[in-house]
Amino acid sequence: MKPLDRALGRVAAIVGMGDAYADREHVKDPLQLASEASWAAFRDAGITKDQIDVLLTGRAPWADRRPQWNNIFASHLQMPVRMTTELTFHGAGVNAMIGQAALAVASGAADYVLCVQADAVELFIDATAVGAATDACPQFEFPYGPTIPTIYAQLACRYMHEFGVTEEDFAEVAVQRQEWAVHHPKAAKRKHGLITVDDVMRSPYISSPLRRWMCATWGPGGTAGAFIVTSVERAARAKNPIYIRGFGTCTTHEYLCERINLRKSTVPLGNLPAITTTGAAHAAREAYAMADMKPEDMDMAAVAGNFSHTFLVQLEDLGFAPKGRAMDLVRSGRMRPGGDFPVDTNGGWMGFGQPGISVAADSLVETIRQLRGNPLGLKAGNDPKTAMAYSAGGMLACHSTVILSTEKA
Amino acid sequence: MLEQGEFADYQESFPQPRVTQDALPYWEGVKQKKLLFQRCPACHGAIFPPRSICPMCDAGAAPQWEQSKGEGEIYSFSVVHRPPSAVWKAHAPYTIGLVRLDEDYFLFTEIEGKPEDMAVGKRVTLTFPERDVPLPTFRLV
Ligand SMILES: [Zn+2]
Repeated sequence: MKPLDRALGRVAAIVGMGDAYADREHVKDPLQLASEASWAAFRDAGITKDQIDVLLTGRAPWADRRPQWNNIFASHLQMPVRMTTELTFHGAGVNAMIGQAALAVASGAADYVLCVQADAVELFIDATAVGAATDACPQFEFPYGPTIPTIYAQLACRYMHEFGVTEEDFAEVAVQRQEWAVHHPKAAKRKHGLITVDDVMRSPYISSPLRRWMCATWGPGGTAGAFIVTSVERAARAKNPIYIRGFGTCTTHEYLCERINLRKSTVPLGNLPAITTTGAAHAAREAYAMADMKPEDMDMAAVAGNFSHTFLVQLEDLGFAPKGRAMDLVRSGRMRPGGDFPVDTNGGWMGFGQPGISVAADSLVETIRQLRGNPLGLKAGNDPKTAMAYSAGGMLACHSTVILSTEKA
Repeated sequence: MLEQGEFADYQESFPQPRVTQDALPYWEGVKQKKLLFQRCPACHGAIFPPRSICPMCDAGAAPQWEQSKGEGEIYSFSVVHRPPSAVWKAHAPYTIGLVRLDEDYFLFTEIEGKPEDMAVGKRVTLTFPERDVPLPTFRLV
């Protein structure tokens, strides 16, 4: 694969950010959430909607799965644009909006790009309709009766087998995620308070070796994140710009039965067949190369750990720990509140929860809020200036990274 | 309401496989209790899931069907304690895993046996249990 042009790490910035939240007492649908977040982003950027040239979204929200939801939203805002499209490679597409917006700015196709994602699964649809039916292969996997955790558990099994990691290690990951979640006013698991390794180990198996506390949860009820991307020249006039220093993406497959039968790859995935290295490694390398930075240059990170073990594998693939050794980083305490490398400061996908596909936008919102010093929950203790935000989607399939910084290249 | 970690699927009956044209011979084989897979005449690689052109080399060759001996080992597994929907409740707990066939390709499949007996590397053999939806599964040797 051709390397991305490194100059792309010096062309664009986020000059406006907006977020919106819903719950059972304050019910809002995805159109309302996306509208609220977008208007907050316009005001934050000091622009009007008439200045938007391109609108990007991830795939349609679960809570409103009309095709071309992006175009429905442009119409809803009465906002004619040159171009709008959904980036539909699972949850990675939401994170990838930022890099694609930078490309639109670099090419001259847009002065301002609006990137927005909303969802509200619990408030509007029967969540039982969301499951392995969409992410398992309908021919060679789904007829056997797996759940989503069952499919992810295949990686957990291999990760434990290859690297000697234990269920107690997975429990420690859950304990530390909850330490952040209890401080975030919107986090779904905030209500449970702090937990111990014993609490996690006493929770029932969902699909072995994954126990309930080692899995992400639904909720909060609804969220949206909106981001205005423009050129670094225009960003010079903005009050609180966040510079897009690097980005990378990679997708390797759709279904696990395809991934395990992959025997060669143009992106490095270890010695195949294997599943313990993912395309996140390639997406991260591209972003670091563009930013001319190393993993050690990141002051904080937001990852996409929907289970304890995926959190660990992602830390390794993003370059924060050698393969199989992410538990050393967990046990060092550096990622906990007060640590010098805060990770998933809203509690992450496990603690904050998954309102739907917008969970990947929530991670971007949290990253930008921390870089600007105005988080809704606990403030990162190390005054972060540069961050890695990563999102994943599909069954270890799709990956997107973006390096954001308060400092211009 | 769902609890943490539950991602249920609403199903009133056991799901039927969504059969693709590439895989018609595979499902004909299942009817006769045979496990078929493809091999590339150019690179000789075992191909699964089935396709019309070998994806593993640049020859662009049409794969040929072969019968598997149905012997292999557990590559990974997970015991399902919270099944995806009501129809699976009576069947739970059951084990789903990746099995590496001796012909050197992998199936996502069910592995019959006691949950406590499952382990990576254990030998398994093909079986076709009597079910509403016929599927190849494996059991511990
Ligand atoms: Zn071939």
